[in-house]
Amino acid sequence: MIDLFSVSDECEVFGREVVLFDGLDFRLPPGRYALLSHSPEYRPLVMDIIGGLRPPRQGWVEIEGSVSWPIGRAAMLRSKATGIEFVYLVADLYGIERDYAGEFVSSLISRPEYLDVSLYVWPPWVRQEFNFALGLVPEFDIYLVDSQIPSDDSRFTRLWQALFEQRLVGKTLILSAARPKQMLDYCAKALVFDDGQLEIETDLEQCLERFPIRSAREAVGDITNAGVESGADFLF
Amino acid sequence: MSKTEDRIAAWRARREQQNAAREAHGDLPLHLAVIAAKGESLGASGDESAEPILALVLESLRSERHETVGERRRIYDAIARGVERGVDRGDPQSDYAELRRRQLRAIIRLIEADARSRMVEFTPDYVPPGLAETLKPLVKGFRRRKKLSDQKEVTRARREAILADEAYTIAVPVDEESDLLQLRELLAQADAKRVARTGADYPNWRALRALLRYQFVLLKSESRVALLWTLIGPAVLMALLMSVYFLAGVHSVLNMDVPTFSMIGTTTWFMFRNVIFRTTASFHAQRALLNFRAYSPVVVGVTQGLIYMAAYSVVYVALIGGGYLAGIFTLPNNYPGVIFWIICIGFAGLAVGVIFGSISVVWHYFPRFAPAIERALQMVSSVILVSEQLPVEYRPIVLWSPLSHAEQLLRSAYFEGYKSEDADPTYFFVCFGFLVLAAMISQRLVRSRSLPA
Repeated sequence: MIDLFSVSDECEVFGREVVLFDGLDFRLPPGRYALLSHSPEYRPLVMDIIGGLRPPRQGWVEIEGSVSWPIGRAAMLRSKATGIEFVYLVADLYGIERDYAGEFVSSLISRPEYLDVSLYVWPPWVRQEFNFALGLVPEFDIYLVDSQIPSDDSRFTRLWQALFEQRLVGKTLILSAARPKQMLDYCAKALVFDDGQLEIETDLEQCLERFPIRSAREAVGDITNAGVESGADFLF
Repeated sequence: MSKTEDRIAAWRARREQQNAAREAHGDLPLHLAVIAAKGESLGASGDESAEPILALVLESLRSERHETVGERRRIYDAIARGVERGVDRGDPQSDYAELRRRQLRAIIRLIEADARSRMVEFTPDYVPPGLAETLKPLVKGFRRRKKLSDQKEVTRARREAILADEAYTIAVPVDEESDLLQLRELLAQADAKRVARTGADYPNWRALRALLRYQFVLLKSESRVALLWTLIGPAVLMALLMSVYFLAGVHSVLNMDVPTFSMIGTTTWFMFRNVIFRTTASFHAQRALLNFRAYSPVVVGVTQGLIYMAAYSVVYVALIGGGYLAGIFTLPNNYPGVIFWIICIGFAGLAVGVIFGSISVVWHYFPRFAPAIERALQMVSSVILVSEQLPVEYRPIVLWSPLSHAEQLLRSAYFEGYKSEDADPTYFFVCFGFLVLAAMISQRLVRSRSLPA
């Protein structure tokens, strides 16, 4: 259960100061939610607030149960540390035995030999596998996923999906992905962020039509191309 | 079995086939009904190959009159009727039913085009021209549609599982089943041995300990030159300071020998500035850690500063120990006092680092000014000289700085022959309290602006 009390927040998004929430009161019951918004660049910011990763400017957020980090967020792994050291950080933080955590991750990812190398030099796909594998190690009550869930035809994907399905039973999921199919595969309802408000919609398929998933690049493109259609002369 | 018995068995089979054909396709003449009955199996075999269809068409054409278009049309219609009846037994809307219909239509079209252009003998090995090229895209399309429909089926099943809050079973190949079992077992063991969760998912002390360990590992992964510089940096400044005193012919400052006086001042200052810079930098450089709910910028910054304080404790031991053995430095007079004041100066550095880091969150350019501020502070913090060396009227220039009080109190603890008259611990601790308060307020003010990376 996540409760937002009189939450007001502003954020800088691509150089613009935007109002994210303005005195919002909201309750999110347990369930599996697809986070949808007309503006994809707001989704990580909303996830940070409702996941308790960043306090709002005003108001407060109460979370019942443990919350994962935003699994799959690529910037998480910008570190000089080696993969196994990062595993140990997570294991130490969540009170898990280091050996089990290390063995689990090395058994799951496709290239365990990278674990002893600095994360900086990892190929992006290995880093992404590692990111998702690590997300399975501690058991959480609320899972935040801020990336596309692995979907390619590989051993890692099959095993990860099977284990994640097991982890998700009875838990809350907030998924921000760029693929509607994944939203349908993992989520039961939509958590819609629109115009500073959060709403829960039960008809996910209909919501996916109302809020077609666009990349941040597309959304920003819309902003930078403003005025092109009307032939505004300040654009060359 | 004798030939007679064979003939009787064949006759019986033929008769049963004719009866079945008559029953299923009673409105057709018997010979066409038999053809239609044979076509039924084509629509229900599950086979992708078009060869059985071609074979039946050719066999039917050979066994019946086929000279005119009308005669051939009747044969084709009978086979199509049989195929339809065959697919009706399963799902007539299925992709497979559509494949069989399309394959039959393509074969008929090609045979008919060939038969109308030349005299054709419908021998068993006859293949109409262009058959393979025509059939290939049909099978390809069927496989694509089948894959899509399989995916739809998976999606439907998954949604059912999600709505029921059940685990959807992901199919894994047989050779991966043992891996899956092993991973499940590891997770179960990790969960079972996990430290009991009480309220918060991670007690603050555990989160701090985990971060300290991690930061220490990061420090170890720094380049060797950077680590060496923690020793060389103070040594270089110390040499400069000593040379100035020696050139002036001074070998002792207020009963403090110049080498040790210089060493203790410069090393402490290097620690102070490094703690500030590292704490400030970590507000931005380590924003990735803010993705963990346990960590805030101030926690990350303070642990980073603590790690550098720990690193400088090694530097002190190395310099004092090595220098003493080499006959350069003297040993501290009051060890607890020295350690206490070094820690106080380090903590003051942490507080300044948090203030600078907080400012840098709203003003990204600010860290560029930090070295200049630090140099200015160095001039008035009793690093180079203590206030007692200055004329009384100039002493306030340095004594406004709480750091000069700490530096002089540190030297008072270190040297037996020097007891600072100007340094006031109360002044230092009052200023230190304000510094900590300012750090707490500033980090609270900007906390919501620190976005996780």
